[in-house]
Amino acid sequence: MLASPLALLACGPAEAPIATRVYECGSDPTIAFENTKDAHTCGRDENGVPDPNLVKADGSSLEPSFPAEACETLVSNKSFPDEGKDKEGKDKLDTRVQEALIRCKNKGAVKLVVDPSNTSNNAFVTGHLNVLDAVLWVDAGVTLYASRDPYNYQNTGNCGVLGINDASACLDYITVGSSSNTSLAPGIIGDGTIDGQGGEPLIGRDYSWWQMSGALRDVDGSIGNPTLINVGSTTNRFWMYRITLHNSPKFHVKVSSAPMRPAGDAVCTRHGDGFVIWGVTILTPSRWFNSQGIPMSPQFSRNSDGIDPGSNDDSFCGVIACNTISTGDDHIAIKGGHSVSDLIIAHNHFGTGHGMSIGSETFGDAIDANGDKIPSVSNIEVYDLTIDADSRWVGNRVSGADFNGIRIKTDTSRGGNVTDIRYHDICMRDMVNSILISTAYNPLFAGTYLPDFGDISFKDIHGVTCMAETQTIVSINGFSVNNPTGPVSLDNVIMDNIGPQATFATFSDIDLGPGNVNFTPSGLGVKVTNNIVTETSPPPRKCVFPTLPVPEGKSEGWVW
Amino acid sequence: MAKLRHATLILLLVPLLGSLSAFSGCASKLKPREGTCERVTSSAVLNCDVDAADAEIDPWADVPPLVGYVCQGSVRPDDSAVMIEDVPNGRICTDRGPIGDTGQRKYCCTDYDTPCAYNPTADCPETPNSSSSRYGFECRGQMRPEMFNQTIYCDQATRTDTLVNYCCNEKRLTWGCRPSNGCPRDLTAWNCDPGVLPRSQELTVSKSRADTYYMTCATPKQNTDTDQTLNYCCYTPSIIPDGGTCTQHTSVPGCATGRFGFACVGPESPSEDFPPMVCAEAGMPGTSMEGYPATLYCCDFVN
Repeated sequence: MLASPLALLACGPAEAPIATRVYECGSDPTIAFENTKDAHTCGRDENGVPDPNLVKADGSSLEPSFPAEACETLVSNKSFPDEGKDKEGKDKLDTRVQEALIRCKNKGAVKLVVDPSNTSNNAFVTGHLNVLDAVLWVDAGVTLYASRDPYNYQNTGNCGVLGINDASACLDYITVGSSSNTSLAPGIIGDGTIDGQGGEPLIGRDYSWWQMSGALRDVDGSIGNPTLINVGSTTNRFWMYRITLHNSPKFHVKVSSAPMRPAGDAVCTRHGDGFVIWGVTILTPSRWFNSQGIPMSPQFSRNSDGIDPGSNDDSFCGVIACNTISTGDDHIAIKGGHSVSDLIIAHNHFGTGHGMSIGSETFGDAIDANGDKIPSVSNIEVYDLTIDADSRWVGNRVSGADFNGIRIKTDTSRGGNVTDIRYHDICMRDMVNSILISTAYNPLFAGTYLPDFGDISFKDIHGVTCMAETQTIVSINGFSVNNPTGPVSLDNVIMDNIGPQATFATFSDIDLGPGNVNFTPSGLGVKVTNNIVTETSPPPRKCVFPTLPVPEGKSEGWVW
Repeated sequence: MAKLRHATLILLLVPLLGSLSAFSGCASKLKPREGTCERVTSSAVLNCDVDAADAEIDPWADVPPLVGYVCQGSVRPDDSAVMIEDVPNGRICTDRGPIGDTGQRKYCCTDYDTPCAYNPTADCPETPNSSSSRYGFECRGQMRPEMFNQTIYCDQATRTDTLVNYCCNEKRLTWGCRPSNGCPRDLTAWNCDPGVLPRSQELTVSKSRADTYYMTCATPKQNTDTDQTLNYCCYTPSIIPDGGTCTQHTSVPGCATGRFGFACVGPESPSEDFPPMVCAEAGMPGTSMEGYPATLYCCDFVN
C-alpha cells in the first residue's frame, strides 16, 4: 500500500532532535550605520580596505559623497508640517522645491536647509515632486513632509477614496527620472528626513493612507497610495545616500535602472553602474502613536516595502549597501515582474519587516536576441546582513509576518524563472520564518505563470535566539514535480532554535554541506543529497547585531 | 456503492459519510453516488502523462505519476476523501470527459492522498459556452490542486476559515469577458458575452496584487448592432462590511447605462456597503440577481 505523503507535508522526521538553543541577546550600538557613517567604515574591512565588490574603477570605495556645493539652497520657513493652511484647510505647499528642481535640471542639487536664524524652522511640505536630471538634497535637521492632501496626487480619480482597489489611483510623492543625454545622475541624498505621513489622517478625511490600505487587507487588495520615491524607467545611475525615510503611504523606494533588458547584450561590468543606494535609513512607523493617539505598528503600515528593485521596470547592475531598514512589509523586495539581475545587497541591517524578499512578481522572463531565456530574477548576491526581530517585545500590534528572514515568494498568477541567487554571511535573530521559499505565496490566486526556482545557495547562515518562544521555520517548496525548486544548497547553515516540526519542503532538490546543517528538509518530491563533512565544517557564523533605530515617543510595547 | 480498486481508497470508504457531512452544510441534499471505477493501465484508453516532452521529472522524484480511471455511473475515483484533524485527505482527479455514449467517464488522478478533498457540494458555476463541467476541491494550507495534479486547472479560490475552496476543470476555459475600453478613467472596461459578468482574475497578471476577484459593475451597454455582447464599466471595491447585504444588480429597472444597480436584502443603503456610491433615489421592491426579495437601488459612482 502506498503511504500517504501527507505526513511528510506536515512535518519532518519525527525522530530528529530539536537543535540546541544558543542565546544571543544584546546588541552593539557601535556598528549601526547611523553611528559609523562619518567614519566611512561600512563596506570596508578592519583595515579600511573596500569590499572588492563595491569599488569604483580606481579601486576606491563605491560609497558616494555629498556634492561640494548645491545648485540652489532653500531655507525652511516653517517648523511644523501642519503650519499654515489655506482657507479650505489644505496644506500651503512649498512650491519653491519643485521650481528649484526644474531650474537645477542638469545643473546639480537642490539643498533644503534649516533656517540658521531660527533653527525651529526645519520643515518643508510639498505635493508631488518630479526630480528629473537633478538631485534633491535634504540637509541634516530638515524634514521634507509629503502633503496629506490626496488632491495633490490625483491620478485616476480614486486617490484618497476609501474602499476602492485601484493600484494606479495616486501619483508618486517623488518621481525620479533621467534623460538619455544627461551627465548628471539623479539622486535623493542628505542627512535629513523625508516623511510620507502614512499614518496621519488625510486632509478633509478621518482616515489615513494606511487605514485605506488596511481596509483592503481582507481581499488582499492593492491600494493606490503614493509611492514615496519611484525611480522611473530608463533612469541612469540613480543614487541615494544617507537619507532617512519615514512613514511611506505605500512602498518607500521603487528603483529601476538602465541599461534595459532584454537588450540581449547588456553586461554589468561594475556593480553600481545601474544604481547605488547607500547608507539609507528606513524606519516605519517612526512614531509609536500618530497625532490622534492611534497606535502605530509595522502591521498597521501595510504595503510599506523598503526598497523594491524591478517594481517599476527593469533593474540592473545595482548596489544596495549599508542601509538600515525596519518597516511593515518587505525590507527589500526584488520584483521580478520585469527583468532584475546583477545586484549586490551587502552590509545591511534589518529590523521588523517581511523579509529580504524576491517576489511576489517573478513573471518577467524574457527572450534575448539570440533566443535564450532571460530569467525574471538572476545573479543576485546578498551578504553581510543582519535581520533582528528582537524589537518584537517593544512596540504595538504586529504579526508573525513582521519577523521574516529570507523569502522567495510567488504563485501561479505571477510566477516565473528565478535563478542564481546567493545568500551568504547572514545572521538572523528570533525569526518566525528564517528561510521561506514559497511557490504558492497566495494559494487563492489562479493563473498559468508557473513558478520556476533554480539555483539558490545559502552559505554561512546563522539563526540565533534571544527571546523567541517558538521555533524558527525553514520552508523550501517547489511548485510541482514538473516545476521543482533547485538545486538549493545549504552549507554551514545553523538555526539554533529549530526542530523537525519547523522544517518543511516539497518538490525540491536540496544539497547539504560541506559545512554543517542542523536540520534536514524532507517531504513530497524532495531529494536531499548530504555531503556534510562534520570534521572540517567551520563553526557557525558569529553574530553581532547593531542597535537599530526605534520609533519616537512613549512605547507601550509591541504585542505579538 | 462505489467499487474502487485502489487499496488506499478502499480504506477510505468507511468514513465516507463523515466525509460528506464534513464538506457539506446539508448532506441530505446529496444524491447517493453510484457506480464503479476501474483503474486503466493502457495509455491507448487514457493517457495521463503530463506533457512528457517538457516534464522535468527526475529519477529521484518519489512522487508517483498520475494514474487513469474509467468510471461508470456518478462515482468519481476521488469522492471518498476524509478529514483528519481538520485537514482534508484525498486524491485529486481531473475529469477527462465521457467515453462516447457508454455512460463512462475518464479520470486522471494522483496515486496518493493530498491535503485536498473533492467537494461534492461545491458551488462551481458552469463556464459559459463550454460543455466542460467544473467541480470543487477543498484544500488546507498553501498548496493548490495543480501542484499535485498537473492536468487540472483551478480558478481563483475563496477561503472559508482554514480551508481554501477551488473550482477546477481539465483546462483553463475562456470565461466570456475581455478587457476593453471606453469607460471613465477610474473604472475598468469589459466586453462580455451575454449572461457573463466580469471577474478581476481575467485582468491578466497583476502588477501588484490588484487581482482580487470581486468586481462591481454598472448597468451595461448592449452592442445591439454588432454581436449582442455587453460593455461593462466596473471597479473593485474593498470588502463589504460585516452585516452588509447589498450586492450588485446589473439590470435594475430604470437604472440607465453607466449607473450602478444594487439589491439590498437588509435595511441599509448601498452607499454604506460601497462607499463611493451615492444613492439619491429611494429604493423600490424587487428581486436580487440571485432571486431573493430585496430593495433595489440605482446609484452613482462619485469620488
